[in-house]
Amino acid sequence: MAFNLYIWIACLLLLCLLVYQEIKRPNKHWLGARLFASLLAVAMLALLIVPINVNQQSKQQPTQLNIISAGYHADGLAQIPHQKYFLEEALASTLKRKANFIPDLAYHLAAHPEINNIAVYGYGLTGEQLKQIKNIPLEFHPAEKPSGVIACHWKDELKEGETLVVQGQYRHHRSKAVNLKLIGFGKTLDSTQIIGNSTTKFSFQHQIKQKGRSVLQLVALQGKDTLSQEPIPVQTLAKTSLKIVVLGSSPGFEYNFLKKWLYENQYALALRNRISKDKYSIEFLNRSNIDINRLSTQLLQKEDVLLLDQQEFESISASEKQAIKQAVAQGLGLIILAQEPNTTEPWLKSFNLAAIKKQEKINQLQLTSSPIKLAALPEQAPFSIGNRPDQQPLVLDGPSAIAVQKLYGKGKIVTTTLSNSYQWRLTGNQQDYALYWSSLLEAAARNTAPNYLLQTESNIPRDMSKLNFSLSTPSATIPAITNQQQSLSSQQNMLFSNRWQFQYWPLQSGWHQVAVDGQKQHFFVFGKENWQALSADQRIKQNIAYALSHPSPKVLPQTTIILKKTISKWWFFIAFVLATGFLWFESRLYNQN
Amino acid sequence: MEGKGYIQGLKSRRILLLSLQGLALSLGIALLVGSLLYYFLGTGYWTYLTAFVLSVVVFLVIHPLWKINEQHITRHLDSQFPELEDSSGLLLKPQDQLGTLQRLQAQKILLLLPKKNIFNDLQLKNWISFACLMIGLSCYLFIPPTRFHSATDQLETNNINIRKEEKILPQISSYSVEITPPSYTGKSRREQNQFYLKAELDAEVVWHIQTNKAIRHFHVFFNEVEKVTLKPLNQDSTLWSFSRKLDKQGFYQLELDGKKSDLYQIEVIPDYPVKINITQPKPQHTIDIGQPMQINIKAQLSDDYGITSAYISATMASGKGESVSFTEKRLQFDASFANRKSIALQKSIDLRSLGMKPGDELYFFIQAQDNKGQLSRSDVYMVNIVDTAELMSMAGMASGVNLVPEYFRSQRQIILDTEKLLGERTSLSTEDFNKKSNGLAIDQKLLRLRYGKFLGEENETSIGGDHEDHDEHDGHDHGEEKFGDVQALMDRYAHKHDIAEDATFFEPAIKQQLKAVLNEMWTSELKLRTYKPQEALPFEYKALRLLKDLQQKSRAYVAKTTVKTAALKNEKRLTGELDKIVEPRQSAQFENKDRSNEELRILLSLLNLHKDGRAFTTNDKALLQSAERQIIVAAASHPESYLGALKSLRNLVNTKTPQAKDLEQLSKAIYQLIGIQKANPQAEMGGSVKKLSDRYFNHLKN
Repeated sequence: MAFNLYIWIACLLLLCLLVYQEIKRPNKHWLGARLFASLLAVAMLALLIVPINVNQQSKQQPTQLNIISAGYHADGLAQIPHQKYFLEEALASTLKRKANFIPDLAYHLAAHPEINNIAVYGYGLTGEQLKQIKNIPLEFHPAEKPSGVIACHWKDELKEGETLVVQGQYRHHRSKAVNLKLIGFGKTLDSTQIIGNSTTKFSFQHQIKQKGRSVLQLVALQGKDTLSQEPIPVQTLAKTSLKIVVLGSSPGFEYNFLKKWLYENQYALALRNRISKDKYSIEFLNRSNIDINRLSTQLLQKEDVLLLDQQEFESISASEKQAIKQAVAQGLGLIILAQEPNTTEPWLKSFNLAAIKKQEKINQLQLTSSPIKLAALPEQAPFSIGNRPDQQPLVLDGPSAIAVQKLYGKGKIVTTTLSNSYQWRLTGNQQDYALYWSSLLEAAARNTAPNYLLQTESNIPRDMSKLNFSLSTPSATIPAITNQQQSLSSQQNMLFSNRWQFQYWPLQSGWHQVAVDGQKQHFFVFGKENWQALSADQRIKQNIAYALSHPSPKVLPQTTIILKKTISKWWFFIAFVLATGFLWFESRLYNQN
Repeated sequence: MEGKGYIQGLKSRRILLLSLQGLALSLGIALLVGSLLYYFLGTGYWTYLTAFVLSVVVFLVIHPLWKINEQHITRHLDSQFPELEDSSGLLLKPQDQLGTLQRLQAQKILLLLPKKNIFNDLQLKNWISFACLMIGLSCYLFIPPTRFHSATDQLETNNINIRKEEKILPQISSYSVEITPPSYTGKSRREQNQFYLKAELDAEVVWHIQTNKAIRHFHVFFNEVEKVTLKPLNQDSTLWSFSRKLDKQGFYQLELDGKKSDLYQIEVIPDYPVKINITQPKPQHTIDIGQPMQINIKAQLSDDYGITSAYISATMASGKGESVSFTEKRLQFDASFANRKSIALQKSIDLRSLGMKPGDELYFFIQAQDNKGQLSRSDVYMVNIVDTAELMSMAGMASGVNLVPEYFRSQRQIILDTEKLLGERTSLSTEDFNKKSNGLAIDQKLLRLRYGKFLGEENETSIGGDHEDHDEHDGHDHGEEKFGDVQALMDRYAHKHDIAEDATFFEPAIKQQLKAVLNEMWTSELKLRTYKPQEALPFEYKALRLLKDLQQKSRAYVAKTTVKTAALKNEKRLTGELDKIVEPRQSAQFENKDRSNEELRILLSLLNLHKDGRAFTTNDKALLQSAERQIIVAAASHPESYLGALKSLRNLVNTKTPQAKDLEQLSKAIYQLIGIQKANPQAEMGGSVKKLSDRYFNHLKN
């Protein structure tokens, strides 16, 4: 205080000196103005040194916390009358001086227990933050819905040669159309166009050709401008072989061609064809010999698929049938080639086989699993399979099914009425033959149990954020999880002794690797810049859901707070410069005269 | 003196202003004209210069700058500024020559001399010339270099070989490649200064290379497998030459003392055989009775370089059954080919002069040869002449199933009667003739109606007729009509019986033919009714022929067999002793030796992972090298799509940080090489918690 007083006294003395000088000056031109300017200059000089505080009244709601989140327009800030805060560091540059930064929401809430309502503007709080606010009512003012890919899904672990399907939704606010492309390996693999001002579903297909991991790109282009570029990581699973047993009632083309195809594709195959009464022709391809003359549950438990024809199925002994039933209940796949619609065999009867009327033209067969139509065969299937609620069609001949699948215990039973599929191979349609038998065998084959199943709990794992994993192991022993020579500790699930949870903080985006008991597992971590529209959309939805379940009270108490505000010294400086400038200019201008 | 200086200043200012204006104007015009000419006519830079010089000259003629002098300025000042009172000229005169009054006037106007806006007259022109400059400049900058060029042969061949960005070994000081196209192309020898080759098949290529220092070993690799060692032409070992006949696509590489050059592409332009397109007649042509016995053949032939000859090879088949005889003839076109690239040929053949009778068939095709000696031939076309005698014969009608014998005979009878009527024409009066013709028409109508029944047609007006008599027998009760009921409205005008098309049990094809028969009969009836039996005859014959076809179609022939087999004893079936019969057992293991496709697929994923610029490990490089072999093979046959990838692959092997461009190009090539994956069945992944799901699924059963 004393310092300020000295300043004032010094300035007063200076002013007196200046006034004296002015009055003494011979040129009396504009004396009054000059005196005023001197006074102003000295006063401003004093104010430049002595700070000036102004008291400001502002109405505040002490019980409400106003949070600005990403997506909120800076122009709209003035409409929020109360004190504003923000949680994301990235917003600091735009919200500087307009809102206060809260580094830790949980800490802030703990320090201000009076807060019983939160108003959020923009895309909303993140999932973690919503957990932190612990049931405090939320008033949500969502920003404009983000434009871009707002939903996207694909299977990230595929079998070799499987078709990758990328499906999602694109929201587009502008009127000009957008080209959406799936790009990989230097090529555009699939593309579509999104018309303006719409939310459009898209679906891309691409047959996986690589073996291993790769990252494709989902690129949105408007003219030549790239609007967004999102990575689509995929990895292929190691190829699994199948163990197949084929029992035929007589040798035939169908078995011969199937045998050759399976043999060339390196599947383990045991083939038994009845050639006379109790006499069989037996072949073991890509496998060691087993005793196949009598079927037993132990034998069949080691196999993945059993394929036999109706005649053979009806002629085997009751004990063998029982063995098959047991094995199927435990997971064996069974494929029956039906030959006659009238049967006494209860399993076949349950399929509802029915002769179909002869059609004028032969249809192209259609697999239910893919949109591709198979080439037409010279003859149509002799009969079809009726609809039943517990069976699922696999191959369709026009409207009626000719191959169906149904569950029996853990295993699956597939029946087909087509007996001349080898004609595809004869007519050169190798691809169709492979598609047909692949779909039947895949539908029937015993499921392989993965040794380790690693899953991330977030659908978009991002770098610099916590990642929760769940892991399934074959046994209940504690798994050794390591990442870059550092071991990660895991927590056992309380209900399932072979399930574990662990956490990981990825520092970089891209492929990451953890080893579980020495087995390498890969997962992809996205960067902050990826899938922004999608996560913004999800945030809006989460916040709306939270706001609906935690409605805020209508009226909030308001208090008036007096804020001390220091006036910027720049104003005084400007006034000082103007005043002294006037003095100088005036003397220059009228000195000559 | 002050006044004189002022005037002189103004003079130089005016000259400067005018020359700037002229410069801008002519530069603008030159750029505009030059770039427009370049765009439309493809002219060179000389147009810019010419346009500039011309416009400068024109400008100088209009504004002779050298003529601007002080008098000029004073005149301008006097006319523009009245306050000078026409006396600015006084300022130029020396002081001592002026009279007193003049001196006073000079002193007066000295103070009034204008400072601003002196050359107001130039202002507008300044702006115009500035705008002209801007327009010219923007034309020059924004008109694309693509242009319509006059497509002469020579120009094209020059353009084909223009391809920039070739990396050349530093040891090579100069080189030239001489391409001698084979004689059939008729093209002259050309030389080029680049290693990328695009040449006609079987062209002779000679490379002349001069190196800037002595090279000890000079090799050329073709398609990475064929190695050619060169011998120097001079003692310093700096002049080299080699030649080769290009018989296939591929690429080559030079190696100078162990230093390998870039890969250079060889593209071969193949010569295709003559394309033959027969526009007339149709592939299957039938000459009916009454039509002229001749055919007109029109064909369009085209080839890349020239056609040397073409002829029609015609084969005539005459006779029936086992006594068919064939005679072959070669018919020349009366046109000169003279190595023309495309030619339209036409020939009319009189079948009678070839010795063809009704019932005979003619097969022909066109064979052509191009100047390389390649032969090509068209599809075989067929012409047959309908045999009326065959139609009239009764053979085949006496035996076998005959669906419609009586009606059929009637059609034959109508023809016979018509011919008889035509024969008697001279002896009959016109009235009688007309009457008989009308009688025949009635017969024809009756016959038509009878056949119409097979198609379910009901009354005589059905064919081509309308339902004008509808109201008379329209007994439907329409009930109350509703406004806007479309169905009711349509019912009023439609006769709703069975649909005629579906009323019979004929196959659709037969119905189609039956309809065609009825059409012919209808026309024939029309001609008879208008007393033109001569014109009716072809239609009658055609109807008969179609009917005969119909009749043939409904026949089937089964030969008798006389084989007898012993009767089976059912009780003895499947009772043979089989204990000594050994069951066949086989075992085999499939060995997959070709792992190349799998390696490519692993590499594809590897390339994707290295996008971040990580270096390849030794293992990765081994994989790259095995892929290299496959890409070399692919590049040899399709250099245009795989040569770039091969270069990229070499770059990747040699550099530490892989470039995104190389990775992308190689991925693209490998992706293409892998091709479509065939479906392979693979087991689905199941869940990991065994017992729980086991119990769940087993509860579901039954």
